[in-house]
Amino acid sequence: MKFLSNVQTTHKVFAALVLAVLYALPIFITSPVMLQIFILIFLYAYLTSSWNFVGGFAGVLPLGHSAFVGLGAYTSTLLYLTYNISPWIGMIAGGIVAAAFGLLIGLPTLKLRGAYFALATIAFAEGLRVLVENVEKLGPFEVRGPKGLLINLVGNSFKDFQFLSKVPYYYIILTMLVLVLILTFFMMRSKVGYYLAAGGEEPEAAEALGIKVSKYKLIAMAISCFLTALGGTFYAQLVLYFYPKSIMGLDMSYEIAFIALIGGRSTIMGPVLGAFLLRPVGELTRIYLGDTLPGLHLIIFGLVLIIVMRYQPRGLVEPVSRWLNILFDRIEKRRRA
Amino acid sequence: MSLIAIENLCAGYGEIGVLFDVSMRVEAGEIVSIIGANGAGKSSLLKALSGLIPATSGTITFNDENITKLPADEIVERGLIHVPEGRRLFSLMTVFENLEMGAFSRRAQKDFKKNIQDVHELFPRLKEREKQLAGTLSGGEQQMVAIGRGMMSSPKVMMFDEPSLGLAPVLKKDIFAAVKRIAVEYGTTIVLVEQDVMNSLAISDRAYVMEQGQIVIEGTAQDLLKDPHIKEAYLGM
Repeated sequence: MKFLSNVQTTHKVFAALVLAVLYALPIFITSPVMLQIFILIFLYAYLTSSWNFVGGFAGVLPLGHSAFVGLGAYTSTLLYLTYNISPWIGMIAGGIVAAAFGLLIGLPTLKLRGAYFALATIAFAEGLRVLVENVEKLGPFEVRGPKGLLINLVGNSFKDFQFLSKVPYYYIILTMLVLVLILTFFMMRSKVGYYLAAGGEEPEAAEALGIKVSKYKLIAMAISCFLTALGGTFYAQLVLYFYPKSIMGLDMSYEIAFIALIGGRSTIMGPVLGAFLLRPVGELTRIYLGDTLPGLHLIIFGLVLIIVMRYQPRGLVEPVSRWLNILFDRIEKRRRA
Repeated sequence: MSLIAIENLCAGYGEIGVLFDVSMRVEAGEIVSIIGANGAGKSSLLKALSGLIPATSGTITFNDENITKLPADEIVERGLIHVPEGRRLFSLMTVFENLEMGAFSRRAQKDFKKNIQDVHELFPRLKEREKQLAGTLSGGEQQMVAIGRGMMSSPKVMMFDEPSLGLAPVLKKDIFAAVKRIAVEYGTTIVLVEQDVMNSLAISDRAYVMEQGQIVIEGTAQDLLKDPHIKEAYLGM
């Protein structure tokens, strides 16, 4: 484990402690509502971490990632409903479909910079949503347009990716999140990660050095879309009923981008921090003000984003990690004394 | 046959033409300066040579091979490297990591050890600052990294775009001396784009003067230093 040698012991202990607490949490929290909030926090942290592969490291701002959540959900659910294929296999199939779509739209758009790429991804996501809303039947698959898909309840069944309790969902998404964070860690330290960072910051200089910037951006896009789609299948199995607006709407795309920007894009922990800060706001406003002021959470996120960009343009992960480092240093000193 | 031969090259950005009928040649082992005012097309000429902007007509031949239509990475692979204007470092990477980024091509990976030694010999400062983030370096040190990063690609030709831009006069001298050393010690051919006409002619063998996207004067550095037009327009004498 050479890569861990430059990480301080206190950091390792802290990370292990946080993980232990999170894995033990369902023992103490039994309220399904609370568990659901945690599940959604982890799901959004997972989706944002997946987004981060292209939105963070490749230096572009995709604003249509809900399209890939939707592709994942629709692929696995349609395969399940039509051929009774286990959603676990459908999950991988959804990932492959999403990666293929990602490459398809990345090829012409990843050369665009700044707002142009963001606009292109919005157009793609909205186009796909409208398309799905207007398709009743696609070959053997009953897509059911705007009515959405309902997954029949079969009770506790691992093969069918269905559980009556929230606890299994909690562990599945927490594990998915941990795995994607580990993948991010290795990605950042890999050659591909460096080439992406180089192309993101100084595309022309990177190209002048012979780095095939667009090739690496495409790789990042494919990985990102694949992982995002896995989250889509998870979401479908969690709620068991979804329709185009609920699973591939723009508000989800925006929320992912908000979480990344406020937490700190192109960092490992930024998406997690952002999800922990923003998701509860989204849940609580939905529970208490959902009828009177739907979408209020997006307004709040917008305000938070403006304030964060004004005072911490690299995201909140920067001051937080600075405080943690000060804390760790003190602990380290006291331990040595 | 010259190492680089450019024939009637036209290039630009989209519809807008910037280079018009540019022809020039560079012999192996030479230092050739391209001088001219802002907006004369010097940087665009380098970008066209390194494949960053497409040529609309004309040909670029390197080592007897037509490279006009090749993408940037293939041109680097053949040994032509462009050290861009304004240093363009990867600010969140360390000095060492920036140098590593220069060794992208297969050829460069093979020579990695030797190249890093050469860079450290030329700029001992970069060895001392190996682990420092590039964004925190001074302007002169950043330029050293930019040059070093170019050397890491095992180039036959290095093309510098205004390496002395924004540096104090003392540091400028160091940078020009380093460019000269690269040519003398490693036999690298140099194409130098500069606005500091005096210093760049002083280390060059030959030079081209560009005005409004065209080459207007060419000659040996010695002759150009005596040219009345150059004296008046660029040296203020």
